[in-house]
Order: sequence, then C-alpha cells, then structure tokens
Amino acid sequence: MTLVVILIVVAVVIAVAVVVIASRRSGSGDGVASFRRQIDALSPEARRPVVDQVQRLEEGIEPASETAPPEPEAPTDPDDPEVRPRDP
Amino acid sequence: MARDLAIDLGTANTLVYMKGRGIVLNEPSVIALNRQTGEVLATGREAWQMIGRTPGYIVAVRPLRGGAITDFEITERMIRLLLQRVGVSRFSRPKVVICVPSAITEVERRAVTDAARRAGAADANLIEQPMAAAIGADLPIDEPVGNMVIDIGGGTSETAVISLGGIVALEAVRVGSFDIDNAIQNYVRREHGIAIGERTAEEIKVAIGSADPTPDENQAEVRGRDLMTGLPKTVLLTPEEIRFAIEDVLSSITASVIRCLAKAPPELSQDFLVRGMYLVGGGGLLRGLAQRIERETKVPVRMSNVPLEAVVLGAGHVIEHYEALKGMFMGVRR
Repeated sequence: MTLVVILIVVAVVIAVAVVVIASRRSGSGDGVASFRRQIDALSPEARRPVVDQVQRLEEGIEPASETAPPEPEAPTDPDDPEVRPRDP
Repeated sequence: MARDLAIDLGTANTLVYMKGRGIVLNEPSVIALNRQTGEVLATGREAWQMIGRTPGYIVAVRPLRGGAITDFEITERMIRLLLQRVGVSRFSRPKVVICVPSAITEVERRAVTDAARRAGAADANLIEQPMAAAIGADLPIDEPVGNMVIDIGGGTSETAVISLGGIVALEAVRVGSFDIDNAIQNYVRREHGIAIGERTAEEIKVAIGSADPTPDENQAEVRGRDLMTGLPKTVLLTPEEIRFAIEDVLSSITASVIRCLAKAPPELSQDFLVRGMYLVGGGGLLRGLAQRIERETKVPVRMSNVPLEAVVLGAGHVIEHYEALKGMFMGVRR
C-alpha cells in the first residue's frame, strides 16, 4: 500500500516536472518568435509605407483629410505684425 | 468598424494617424473654453489664434505642459473632440497608440490612457516619443547598430540611443521650445521693460532666433506694452540678444545630449561618429541648433526630413503592425 502511494507521488512529481519543463521550452520559443516578429516589423521592407509617406510629405502632397499646415512662421495678420524683421 | 489610430499628443501640436490612411489631423494642442459655462468654443488652430486675445469670459489654454497633462478634464475633452473629427463615435471605438515623453511618471501615464479611454478609445497604449521618432525618421533600428535620436518638442527634449528595436540609453529634460519662448518673454520684459505675449515671443524666435551665429542675421522690431506707462511701445531686438536670452535653455538641452552620449555603451558610441545623430521635433528647427550640438559633441547631427511628423509616422507604423510591435508599448517590456 505504502509502495503504491510512493509510486503515485513520484509519478505526480515527474508529471509536474515534465509540464514545467515543456512550458519553459515553449516560453523561450515564444520569446524568440515574438522578438523575430518585432524585428521583422521594423525592417526597411515593413517600413516602406512610412518611407513613402515621408516622401509624399517632402513633396508637399497633403495626406487624406484634415491635415493643417504647421503653425505659421509669420503673424496671422500680415498688416499688423507684432514682430517685424528689419535689415541691420 | 473604427480604424485604429496613432496620436502624437504633443505640448505644441497634436497629430493623428489613421491606420491605412496616414496622417489625418495636425492641429495645435489648444482648446478655447467659455469660462462661465465650461462650453468648448474652439480647438486646434482656431483656438490657437485666440491665445492672449480673448475677452474675459473666454480662455484659450494648452492642456499639456512638459508633455504631461496639466488639466485632465480639458485634455479628455480635447481628445474626444479630436477623435470625433476623425470619425470616432460611440459605436466605433478604435485601438489607440499615444506617443508620450519617456520621462512621464506612472500617474501621468495613467492620466493619458484614462483620458483616451474616456474619450472613446477601446484600448489605449503608450509608446515613447524617441522610439516612435526613430521609426518615423526611418533609422535602421532593426539592426544591431547605434542609432541616436534627439527629439526637441514643445515641453520636453529627449535623446535616446536605440539598437535592435529597443532603447539602450535615454536622457530626458523637461525643457523645450516653449521654454525658449518664455526665456525671450522674460528677457524682453527685464531688459526692454515691455510685456509681450506667448505668440509674439514665438514669432521673435522664428524671425531672428538662433543657437549659433548664422550668416544672414536681421534685427526685429517688436511691439508690446510698456510696463512703466502701459502704452504700446516698439523696441529693436538683435539676434545676439536672443541668443543670450535663450542660452540657459540651449545649454540644458545640449547637456542632456552629452549625458546620453556618455551613457551609451562603447560598442554603439563608435557608430554615432559614422552615422551621426538625428534631430527631430519642432524645437530642432531653431536656426543653428544642429551646428551647435555638433560643435559641442563632435558628433555629426543630421536633420530629419520630416521633423514635425516623424513621431506620429513612427507611431502610425506601430499601429499598422500592432500585434508584432505591441511589445514596444510602455509598461509591457518592463
């Protein structure tokens, strides 16, 4: 009877150990895969759409809708500026 | 079905990127309210034009300072209105990625995500501005090489060394182009005895401000209110005066860049000499700033082709590859 209990306990311990080792192995595999996915998503090929948008912005092509130009460099009312550049 | 969004919630400007469409909104981070009723009267550019020119019952404010929310309720209302303008409704709740300064506290982080969720986002995640800027500036951050990005915004300046998709070294100071405007305001008040507004100080910076002497320098006539008489008065400002006025702010920014360089591992440091550092953000547009940083660090400084949009484009890339890049969100990898 005692022997059976010991065998059951040993079997349970072995089963738990196998599960833990398996989960650790699959965990490290997940880490590699997710790191690979992240690096691939940052590659030049994956970023081509961003590069295209940069080129469009450089060429002055306005994107889809409500994009406003950056804040004006001159005062909004050109007839009444508070700052007037003057040659030295 | 709502399209997911990336938001660069800057102290100066807010930009919104919509998945599959690109940048759909670019407006100053300003909101105008009726002081008595609390009603929103204008947002964005319209509200920006009201700054310093409103009657007593209207207040035009920037709800973010130093990249952090100073007024939670107003920020939430501003985000809600921005989301409405890009088509988000009660029935279409998108996932949102928001760019924030890397130095914000846990409480500030929660304030931003809560504001976005209450404003209609189904899920809100944060990404550090320098990381987004590096993606948007098209730096090869997927490679094991040192990429250095300097992001000078309205309220913060951040320098980061990035390699293999992660931040290796980081240095941030809560100093930005609004501090340059404040320094100009204070100088004109102290040395010329006139009061000028926030927008006028910004106009002076754009017209004659520089970090290093430049070949084509002009003076500027500036009008303000005489502090002694209360009458309008005109004074003449020179670029040397402005350089003197903003010296402390610029020193603080260049010192933080030097600290970041000192933190970088030696293997990556040698890459900077070849590849240079990339300057992004509106503050980086100050004349002579790239040359000054280059002079003080002895490392080449290159200006991004899209300094104002780099951050939101980077965050937009993250929203386009949400599943693969969700490990980059703040709080996930720590």
